Amino acid sequence: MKEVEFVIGDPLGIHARPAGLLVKEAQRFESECLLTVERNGKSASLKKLLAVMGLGAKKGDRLKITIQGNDEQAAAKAIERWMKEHLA
Amino acid sequence: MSLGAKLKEVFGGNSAAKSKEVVLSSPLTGRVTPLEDVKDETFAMKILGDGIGVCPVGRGELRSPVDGRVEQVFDTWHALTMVSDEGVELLLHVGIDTVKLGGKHFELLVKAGDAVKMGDVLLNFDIDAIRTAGFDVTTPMVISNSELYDMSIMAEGDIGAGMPLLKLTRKGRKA
Repeated sequence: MKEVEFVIGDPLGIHARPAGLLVKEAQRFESECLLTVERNGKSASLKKLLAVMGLGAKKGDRLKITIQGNDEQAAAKAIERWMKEHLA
Repeated sequence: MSLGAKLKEVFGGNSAAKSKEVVLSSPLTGRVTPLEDVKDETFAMKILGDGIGVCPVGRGELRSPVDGRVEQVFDTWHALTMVSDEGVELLLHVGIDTVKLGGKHFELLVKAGDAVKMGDVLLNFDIDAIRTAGFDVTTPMVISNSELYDMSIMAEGDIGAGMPLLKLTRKGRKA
C-alpha cells in the first residue's frame, strides 16, 4: 500500500474540472485509490467522479490518498505529480 | 398519483430497474450545443463524460432533466450532480468557469438528497448578469457514467425546457 498526502493550494479547490482530470488520471491504473479529506473525514474512490466532487475539498484541505494494487507504485507517483501540477 | 407513478404501478414496480431506455429532457430553454463545441476543454474532450450543452435564453431556470435525486450541490451554487431513478449519473454545470463567481447571480433551490421530478426548477440564475460579468452561460449536461450507455441526441437548434434532448440506452442488455 502507498500513501500520498497533499494540501490543496488552489483557491477554487476540487471543482468539476480538476475532479474530472484527477479521476481520469486515477483510472489509468488498476490499483484501488481512496481519497480522504482530513477536515470532514469524507472518503471516496478516486475513480468515481460524482463521489470525488461530493467531497467538497477546498483550499487548505489536507488530502490523504491510499493506493493499493499491482501498479500502486506508478499510480502513487502519477497522482502525486498530478496534484502538484494542478492543485498546488 | 402522477402519471409516471401510475404507469410504474401498472407495469410493475421494478420497471425502472429493467427499463433499457432513459430519455433526458432539456434542463433549459435555449439552443442545443454539441459538447465538443463547449468552450472548456474538460467538457469538450468529454473528460467528465459524454453529454450535451444548452446555451440558455430568456429565464435562467435550470430544470431537472430526470426523475431522481440530487446527489450533491456545489457550494458555489453553479453546478450540481444528480442520479436518475434508473441510475444515470448527471452533472449539470451552469456556464463555463462560473465557479469563479463564488455563487453570485445563482440561487439554488434544492439540497443534496432531495427527490426531484423531471421539470422541477433546481436553481435560478441571472443570465444577463453572468454574461455581463464576462462568462459564457452555455450549460453542459454531462453523463458521468456515460460508458454504460449508448447516447443519441434527440434535438438540435432551439429547444424548450422539458423537451426530449438525450436518449440513453443501457449497453449489454438485449431486449
